Amino acid sequence: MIDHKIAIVGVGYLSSNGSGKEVFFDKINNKKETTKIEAYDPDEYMVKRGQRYFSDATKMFCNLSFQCINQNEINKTIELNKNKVGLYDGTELSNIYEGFIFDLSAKHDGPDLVSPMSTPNTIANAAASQMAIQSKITGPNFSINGGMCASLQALDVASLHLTDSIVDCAIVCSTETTSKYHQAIRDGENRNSNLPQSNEYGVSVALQRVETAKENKQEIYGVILGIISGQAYEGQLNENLMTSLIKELLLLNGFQISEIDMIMIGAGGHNINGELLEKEIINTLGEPSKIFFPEITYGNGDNAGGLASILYTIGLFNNDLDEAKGLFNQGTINKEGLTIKPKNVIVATIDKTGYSVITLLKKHI
Amino acid sequence: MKRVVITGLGVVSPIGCNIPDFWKNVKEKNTGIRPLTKLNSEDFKGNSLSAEVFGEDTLNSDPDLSDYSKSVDYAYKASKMALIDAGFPEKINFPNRYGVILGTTNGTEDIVERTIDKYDIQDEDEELSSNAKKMLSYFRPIELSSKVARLCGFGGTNMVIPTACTAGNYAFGTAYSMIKNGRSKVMLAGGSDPFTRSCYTIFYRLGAMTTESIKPFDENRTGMVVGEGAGIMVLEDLDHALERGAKIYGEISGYGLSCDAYHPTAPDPEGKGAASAMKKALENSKLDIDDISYISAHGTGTKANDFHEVNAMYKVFGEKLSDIPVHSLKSVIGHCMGAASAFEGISAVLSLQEQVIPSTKNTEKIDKIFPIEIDLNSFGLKPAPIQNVMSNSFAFGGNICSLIFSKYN
Repeated sequence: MIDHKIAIVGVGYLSSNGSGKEVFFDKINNKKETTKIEAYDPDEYMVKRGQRYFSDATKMFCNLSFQCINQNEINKTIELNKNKVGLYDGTELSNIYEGFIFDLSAKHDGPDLVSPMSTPNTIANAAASQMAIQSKITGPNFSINGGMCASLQALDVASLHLTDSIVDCAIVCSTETTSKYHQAIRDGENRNSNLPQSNEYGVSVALQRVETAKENKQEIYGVILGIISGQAYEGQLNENLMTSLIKELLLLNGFQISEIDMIMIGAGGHNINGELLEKEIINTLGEPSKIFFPEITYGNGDNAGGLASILYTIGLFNNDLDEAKGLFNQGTINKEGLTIKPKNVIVATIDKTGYSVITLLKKHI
Repeated sequence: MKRVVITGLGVVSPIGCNIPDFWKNVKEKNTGIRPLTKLNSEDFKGNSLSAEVFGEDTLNSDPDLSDYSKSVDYAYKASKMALIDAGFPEKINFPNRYGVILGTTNGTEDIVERTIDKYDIQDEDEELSSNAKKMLSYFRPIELSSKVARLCGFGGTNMVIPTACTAGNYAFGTAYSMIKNGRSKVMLAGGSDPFTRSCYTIFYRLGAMTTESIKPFDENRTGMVVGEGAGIMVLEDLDHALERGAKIYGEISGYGLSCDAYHPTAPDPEGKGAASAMKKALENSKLDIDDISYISAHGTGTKANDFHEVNAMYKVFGEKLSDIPVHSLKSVIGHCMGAASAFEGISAVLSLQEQVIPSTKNTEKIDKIFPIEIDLNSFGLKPAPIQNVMSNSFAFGGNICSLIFSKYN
């Protein structure tokens, strides 16, 4: 549990439909489809030199980070001391395509014919490291594998660094790229999911301590009150784990379940039985909040799903998302219509391994 | 804020798969570098050395983890060893929020190679069979920490940090922060890496491997040797450790993170990023350069690393650097990737406990190109008062972590 309030002061989004949070809100409000991305840096933030050697995930990561840096005067904080800015990548399969191609070449063509320029892409820290080179940010450079919880796991480490004053500003990104090998893994694990595929997308957030954001008079899109994580024991149901983590998170923040307007299962929704989760919450915590599976709108969130849900929440906090159109209602377990304007939201992610990361967000008033 | 102590150690390494053998071989400089057996050395023109795990057959191989990456298997074996060493059962059987944080370079890349080899995949256009897809599904890197957590009954946070050759220190540092902030009482932390064709090929193509021996900081140094393995520590909230009467090896005083922001594979020759991490580690630990008893260097034995590392150390320690012993474990154990800094941390902790500084193998003449002459050998296992050890680790992408291990008082 982090114990400092963390402000979300920047957000970024990238898909085949373009870049910027408005593109995400438009997708949700108007049920826009996405495809494989053609331009991974449509805003042309990156220097052109050497781009052909970068992986798609690297280019996405850089674009998403620059989106955050170039808004809400975040660059002013960054320019003050680039050594106190952290870059965090919540990733999982970002290097599998490159790893596969590299090894096919090493095995069949022989090691002498493998390009040394392709070597960085085989390691999962390539994206955040390249962003450091592009931006000259010299603070902590962190890549984290956490399955479907990866983006919230990265958010957790970044929040920990802000709490400990290791950094003054943190840029957290998570990207979803696609390839036949990504699909092969999904097929291989026999994923039991009726959710649509997300296609390629990425989300980023910029974080600062609330007091810093207030001092700088920056717009605050939302406040992170706490983050908690846990691994299911042998035989423990995911729904039971998630309920126990929510209970602990609420207790640590002095909240009752009745004060939570919505619980969003941002990634790994197929690992949760909504009705069972609702039952567990009723039995353990009392009258439940609305449980919402936003992946029904943006597709399988995978490692970026946690941040996608945070972006969704920000849209609701700031009236950018128009739930009156009925989309908000579609994925809920509760059958009655929803017209809530949430103030306190729990975003939860759960991996098939039974690992869960959960965060409590509050609307900034 | 909590104090964070080390209460258990575990290794699956090229110089042994138990702590007494590991430490004996560190002190006696018995090498773990042997002829390459896991690949055909003829493919790598003259490069025929590796640092493969030695003595794994002495370990219990239950449960069967053969479907998983070798990194999972190594990490679990080292974790089990560390838990038993710390006085815990090998599986915790009560509800807890104990965590697992593991660093890695290649992670689960061996699953990709296994799939290509077993199903004889020739090129990118080839469709994968359902069996190949099933095998590939074990690639998911989270399995490294999550499987270990499930097997050990650890119910708290778990994550994998793929920050290449500095990943072990990142894991120690992050686990330290988690305990310090009251997030967890006990963490398994360290690094694990499988031996992979990709990794060997990368260093071969970059011309970073030696065909002779690793000579860190020597004027005739010719490179590193690719290794593998897992090194794990049990990190614990001091109060929790005292309450259960645990033996305490030492403590972590603090750490510093930085990034070169310079090049995807080469370090900044001036060592600015590395110097920044060392300074942050000192500041975070509330220590001064005079408090550092010796430096456990990244010391790969490559021209580029060793030059930038001495420049960085000189920026931080100045002329005093010539009085501070420097040790490079890689001269004995090879470069074990994500496990490298984990092994170096374990060696540092054992040296704190025994109050001796291990010396560096093979180095005969310090390179004159360095701004200062460093001392790698004159102290050679003589008893010395060791209070704080700075452990440096660097990686591709310019990821850097310096961490300070201290004697528990």
